Amino acid sequence: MKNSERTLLRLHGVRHAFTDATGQTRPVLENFSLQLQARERVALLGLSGSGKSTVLRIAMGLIQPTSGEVEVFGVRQSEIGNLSEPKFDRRRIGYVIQDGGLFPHLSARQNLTLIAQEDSWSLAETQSRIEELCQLTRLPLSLLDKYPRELSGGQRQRVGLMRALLRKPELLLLDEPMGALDPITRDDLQRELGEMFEKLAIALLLVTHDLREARRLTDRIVLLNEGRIEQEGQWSDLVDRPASEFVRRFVGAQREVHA
Amino acid sequence: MNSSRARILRRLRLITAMLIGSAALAITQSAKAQDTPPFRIGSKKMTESIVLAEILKVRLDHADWPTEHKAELGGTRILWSALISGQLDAYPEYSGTIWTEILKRQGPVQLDQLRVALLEMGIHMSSPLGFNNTYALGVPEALAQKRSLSKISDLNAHRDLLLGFSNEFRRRQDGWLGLQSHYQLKGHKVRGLDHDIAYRALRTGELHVTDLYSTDAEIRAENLRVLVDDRDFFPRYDALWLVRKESLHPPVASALKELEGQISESRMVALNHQARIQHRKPSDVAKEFWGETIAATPDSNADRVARVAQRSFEHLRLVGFSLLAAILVGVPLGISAFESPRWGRVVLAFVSGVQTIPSLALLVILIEPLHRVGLSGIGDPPALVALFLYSLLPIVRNTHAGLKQIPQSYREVAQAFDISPTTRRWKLELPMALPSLLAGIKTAAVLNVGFATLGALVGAGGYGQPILAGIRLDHYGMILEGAIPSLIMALLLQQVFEFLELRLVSPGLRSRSA
Repeated sequence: MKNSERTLLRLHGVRHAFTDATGQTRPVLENFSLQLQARERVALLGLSGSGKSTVLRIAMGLIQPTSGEVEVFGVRQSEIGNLSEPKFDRRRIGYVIQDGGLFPHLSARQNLTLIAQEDSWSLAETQSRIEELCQLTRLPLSLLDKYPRELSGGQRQRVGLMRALLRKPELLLLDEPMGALDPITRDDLQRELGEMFEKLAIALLLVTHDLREARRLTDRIVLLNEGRIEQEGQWSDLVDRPASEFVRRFVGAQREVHA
Repeated sequence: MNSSRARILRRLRLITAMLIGSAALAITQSAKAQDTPPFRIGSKKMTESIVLAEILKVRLDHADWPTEHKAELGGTRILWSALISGQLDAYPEYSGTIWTEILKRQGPVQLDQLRVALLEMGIHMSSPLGFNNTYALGVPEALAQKRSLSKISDLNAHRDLLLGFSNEFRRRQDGWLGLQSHYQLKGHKVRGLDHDIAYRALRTGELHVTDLYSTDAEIRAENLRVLVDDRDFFPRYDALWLVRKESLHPPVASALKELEGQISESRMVALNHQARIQHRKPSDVAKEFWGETIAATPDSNADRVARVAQRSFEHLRLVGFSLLAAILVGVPLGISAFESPRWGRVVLAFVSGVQTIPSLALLVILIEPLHRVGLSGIGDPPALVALFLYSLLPIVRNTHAGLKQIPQSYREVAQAFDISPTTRRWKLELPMALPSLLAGIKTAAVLNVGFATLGALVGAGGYGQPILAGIRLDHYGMILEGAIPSLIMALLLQQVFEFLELRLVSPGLRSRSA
């Protein structure tokens, strides 16, 4: 966070394909390029199956793209690298998946302390950081000893976010964090998160299919369609100057709902 | 935070204590067994064999010679291999059985040739005890009269009759196989079943003809007609003792001398009748044989409680040790099967394969290899090994399945948060797989309680003892004395595991099982 112009993430000409059960090669991403600077907030928008989540998993080093360049924190990831040990510190990235991805057998607090213990934090250190995060995400302290199944969808998502923020990462990867929430909870959480990200001045890569969410939480939108970038720009660019018939329909469909 | 670590430590301490405790128990048990080697007598799973064994034991007891009777071990094959491999010193056998089944000879038994052949194998054969317990075919008297059956050759005129033979008789050259060709018997329906159950089936008319021993107490008790062996098929089955040459200690030799020719057929039928029909203890029958007078002691409740307690201990020991070993081996095996799918297929195929081996066959198969590694092929070792092998399947399969059902997304999250492999294994994967793993152990434990009753076939004691004896004696009370505690133990174990599940499985996972 020292240098706001620093590039945190750079993907260039990335292609990813997998072989399905019938033995056919199915491309997920084609010629995908993206740069993310420090403190920048970008949304990956698109329909389901458009390859949005694949971008996050490539960035996190969970999967190896078929070809193309990937640079994380300025370090080029080798194409034939060892997946379990990427050449960057994963602790500098926070990761939240749909419904929070909390470990079901651990209470909310244990989900957080598990990470702190991995980094050998002291008890006091862990405790104060958890209290801080509760305040930030507006999660009542009394809910910390509940198990994920005892929490509501919104509460689970807050704990998932706390877990991702625990190590004070520079970059946050959110994979449809509000996909499973009801509209009212979603609306509240979006507003709160917008304020929070503003305060934290953290870089964000948000995967969503919700145009409104992208507009509220990010500065720049990358619209994907079947693994290719359809249009990239501000919200207003997409609305006023759609690059294709697909963009026009995508925007139109969501605007009608929110009109 | 630290409470979970403390809980794991406490659990580890408990497991360690259990392991040390069980190891200590095993050591003291084996040390005790090596004190003074007693003269070990075996007997077959039939009343006559047990009574004969008791008669020799009582005589040796009188001579103050330490003697042990491993009762109801099974059939000829189990006893013969135990004798040959030195796990038994002696057991009562019949000349015809050795002649045809073990030496594979044809024609009438030549006792002199038999004695020489056995000596070459290191086995001393005593002189005949006096009676010939040959095979015979029996028919209920009423049916025999109605169909006018008196000879075995009469059977050919009545092909609708249902024949039921003990499995041993059915497969023996000196049994049904030879009899069939000797008498040209064709077209009968033949069923294999336990000798003791056959009598019950004769009574209910589900069976018309069965194999008998000519000294069977039932011939009189059940009012059966013995069909005359009109074409002289059955060889002589003179009862005699087989003793390992080096175990023929002077008191044993003199006891065998005293018994020579002393038990006539009618005396043996009387002895069998007392044990089998009057339900008297074989040891009491044997004491009376030697002239002791036995006061009739009614079975007191205290006796019964002590008996059941002793068997419960034996049974629990079989179930406990085999289960513990199966957990220690099965859980790591299940984990390795999950980690390497190719190896996993081999492991799962192996443990499933073991499950398909019939239990009695497994017990017999184990005698030889156990003896090679210096363990007894009868008693606890084969029972423990068999139970251990049977327990592997549910434990390995459920450990594997428990790990496999963890959604991929949790693995990715663990990876994304850079959680170390050790933490992943112990704090994430295993706790999430624990409900399935525990269910596997529970299944193994409950099945083991049932399987362990078969331990009695190889002299491992437990609840199987009264069940086997009860079937042999046609005594329902005795069967229940084994079956009911066995059922209770299975239910209690089920409760124990449900309690463990409540204590060990995270409440966060419990909604599914609740």
